[in-house]
Amino acid sequence: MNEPRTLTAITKDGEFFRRIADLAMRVTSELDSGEVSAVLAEACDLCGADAAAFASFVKDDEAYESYRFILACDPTWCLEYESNACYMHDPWLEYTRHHSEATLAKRIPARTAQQIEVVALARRFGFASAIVVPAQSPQGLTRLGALCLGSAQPEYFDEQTLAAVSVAVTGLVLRLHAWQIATLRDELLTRTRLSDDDLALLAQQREGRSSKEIASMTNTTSQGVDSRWQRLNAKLGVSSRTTAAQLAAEYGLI
Amino acid sequence: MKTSRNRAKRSEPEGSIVVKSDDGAVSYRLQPTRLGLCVQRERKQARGHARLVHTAVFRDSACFLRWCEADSVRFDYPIVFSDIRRKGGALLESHERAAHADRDHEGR
Repeated sequence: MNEPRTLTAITKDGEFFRRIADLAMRVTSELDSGEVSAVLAEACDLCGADAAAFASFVKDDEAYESYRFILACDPTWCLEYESNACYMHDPWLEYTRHHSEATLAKRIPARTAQQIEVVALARRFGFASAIVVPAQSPQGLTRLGALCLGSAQPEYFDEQTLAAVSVAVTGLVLRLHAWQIATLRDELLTRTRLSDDDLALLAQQREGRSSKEIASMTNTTSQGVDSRWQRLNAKLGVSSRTTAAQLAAEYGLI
Repeated sequence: MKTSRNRAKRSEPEGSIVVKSDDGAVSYRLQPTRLGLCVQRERKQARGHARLVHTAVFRDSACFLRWCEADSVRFDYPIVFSDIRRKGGALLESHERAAHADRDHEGR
């Protein structure tokens, strides 16, 4: 029986980078979440990892924040993660909020008892050693994405292989993040049936224009613009035009 | 008792099944794929005002049923739980039958 290859051996093989790049190229907006999960599972196999999760976060509105996970690991992890409200204390997600460079999970400090529990849970489900690769978001938006690759072996992901793995998978992470945003945008458009005029109005709000300014640009009245805002806020299920424009930006509509 | 209703939306991919609780707090989309059963589970949590969505592909019934048994929906929404377990199990069984048939065909 063949010994499993070490990560050092895997990353020294040039074919590894080409195959991960091919996987990244396969991630397009036409894929459904099952197909993306399959791509993730292939990436996990190529890295010799035991578990992978692509996590994304977006602030929906005043009331809700969304945490989404595409999994190539035991999904029971996510049920426990939810039951224990780990999303409120996840140090790896917190790292992603403030950093753009890939890192080893063991470098991310778990300071509180709750954070230590979140990490312990991940370890139980195949992330004994892990690498966290964040995806950048434009300034002013809360949305973020991160790929977490894990191994049940405590030292599988280490300092020596961090750079090679992060270079290999960064393109994939960016494509997964773009896919997630495109999916959210399409879902929101389908649900709300926003028109081109609605999107233009949202863009004007994002640029900081008042009802009076919008009215003069569109040859209508301020009252007419305000009525359009009332209808638009109702479509999006939010209470203010500021929130509506922020939501539209977060979901990639404008 | 919290109840469920099925909503097969027109915009859903072909063959997919959507099961939601009446209060909208929990929903599942079951989608048969060539790799197995793709399940997207969404749950709104009052704690932290969070919406959690996770997607995974199950390749066999045993894994799927184990995951179902671990879901707190079992206690919070027993009818939704029973629906998911039954419908997901049936979709996976037909996937497994098709995979066996393909393997038999290739073996000839």
